[in-house]
Order: sequence, then structure tokens, then C-alpha cells
Amino acid sequence: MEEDINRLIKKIKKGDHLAFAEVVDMYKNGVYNICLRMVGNRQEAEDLSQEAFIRAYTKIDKYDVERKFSTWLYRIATNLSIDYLRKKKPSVYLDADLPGTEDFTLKSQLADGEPLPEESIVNSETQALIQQEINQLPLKYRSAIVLKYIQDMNLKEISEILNIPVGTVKTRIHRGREALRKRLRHVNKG
Amino acid sequence: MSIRGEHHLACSERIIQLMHKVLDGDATTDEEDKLMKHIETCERCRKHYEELQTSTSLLGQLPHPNPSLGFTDSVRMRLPSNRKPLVGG
Repeated sequence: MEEDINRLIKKIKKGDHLAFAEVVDMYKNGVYNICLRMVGNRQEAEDLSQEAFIRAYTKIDKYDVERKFSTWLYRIATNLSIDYLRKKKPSVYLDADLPGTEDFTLKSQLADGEPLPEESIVNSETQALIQQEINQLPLKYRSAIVLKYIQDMNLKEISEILNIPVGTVKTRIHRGREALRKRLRHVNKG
Repeated sequence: MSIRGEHHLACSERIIQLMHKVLDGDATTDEEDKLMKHIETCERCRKHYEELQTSTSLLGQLPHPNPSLGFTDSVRMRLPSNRKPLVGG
């Protein structure tokens, strides 16, 4: 995978759009799901994901081939989502733990959520509920939780994506977990 | 967001820290044993730990939908051309 990527990146640096399309196909699910769980809305996630890839393309010269490409790309996607949410919502909401207006509806979730085969999936209603609770998390906890539990990334990768020490990642994940625990304790699985 | 005050007085914050350590996969076997032993006897902590496990497991059960079918094409169409367009002529 990393070898493939380096081969493609050489082409992309020369302006090869087809090579970039290959990269988009490889990573679009990851980028999209980070954005989706960060902003909680399919259309916004779609727009942000496109924006993330375009930004990656235009800044490809800044990518350091010694580092993992996905880390660099997911960092772009995470930062875009955070910037977007900061602009969208009053800043007081972001760090204070206030309920926000939720635009993640059951309808948007049902649109065309095609689950991966091996996943055991909670029902749509529960999904919407979980997303609503993710939406309530302050951004610094939300980003850590999304990368850990949606993208299944290890703490080291998360620390590189968020550009914070591993210890800080842990603290944010701990606090995010505690917040979700209180909110999701009445949710029934299934 | 504070953990303090939320919890049973008899159970120190240390136990909750330990829960997170276990969930992070950072705990030694001894530490894990310590937690398991504790939650055998402490109902509140057991509940707390189960709730943490439930909420993270719920997150893990969210689907990973794909973006729209035309996603890659839409991105491609928006890519800037590297060649400078010839102006005038």
C-alpha cells in the first residue's frame, strides 16, 4: 500500500489527475467517515471530503514521503471539519458543553448507508442517537474519539493527526468516553 | 465533564483512571486483575465500567457508509490543472 502510494504520488506531483483519482478511491471512505462523524451530516461531510482531497492535491508537495500518507490526509480532513464547525457554530458551544442544534436526522442517516459486511451494526434509530451524542462533544474530544473509535486508529497516529502529545490524546479520549458514557447509558443495543 | 463528584465516594478516582488504562490497553495484567477484583465487589464501579464499555462498543457499531457514487469524478473535475493556461494569443 505504502509503495503504491509513493508511486502514485510521484505521478500526482507531475499533475496526473488519474493517479490522484486512484488515491481518492483508496481513501475516500476513511476521509468521508471522519468528516461524517465530525459534522454529523451527509451532505456537509461529502462537501468537506471533496475539499479535503482537493486540498491534498494542491498541497501534495508538502507531503513528506517518509510519513504515512493516510496520517497526512486524515489530518487535512480533521482540520477542515474542525474549522468548518468553528465557523458554523458559535465558539462558546465548542468548548463549553452546551447542547447544540442537531442536523443529523434519521432521514439523512438512512440515505444510502451501505454497511461493510463484517460489521455488526446498530439499527438506524440508535445510529442517529449515537451521532447526536457525538455532536454534543466539544471538538477536541470529538476529534480524538472519532479517530479512535470510528477509524480505529492507534494513539500514536491520532497524536500525529491532531498534532498533540500521546498523553493529551489519552486525556481527551478519557474525557470523551466519560461524556459519552453518561449520555449513552440508557441506549439499548440493537 | 468532571468525573469528580459524579462517583461513589468510597471509590477513588484512581479506579476510574484504571478503567481508562485498561480500555486503552495500557494496563498490566496485575492492574487488570485489580480492576476486575474491585468491580466484583463494587456495584457502582462495575456499572461505570460497563457503561464505558457499552458506549465505546456502540461507537464501534456505527456503519461506515461510502460517499456518493460520483464522488471521485466530482473531485477530479475540481482539480486545478498544473499547466498554466495560455492567455490570449
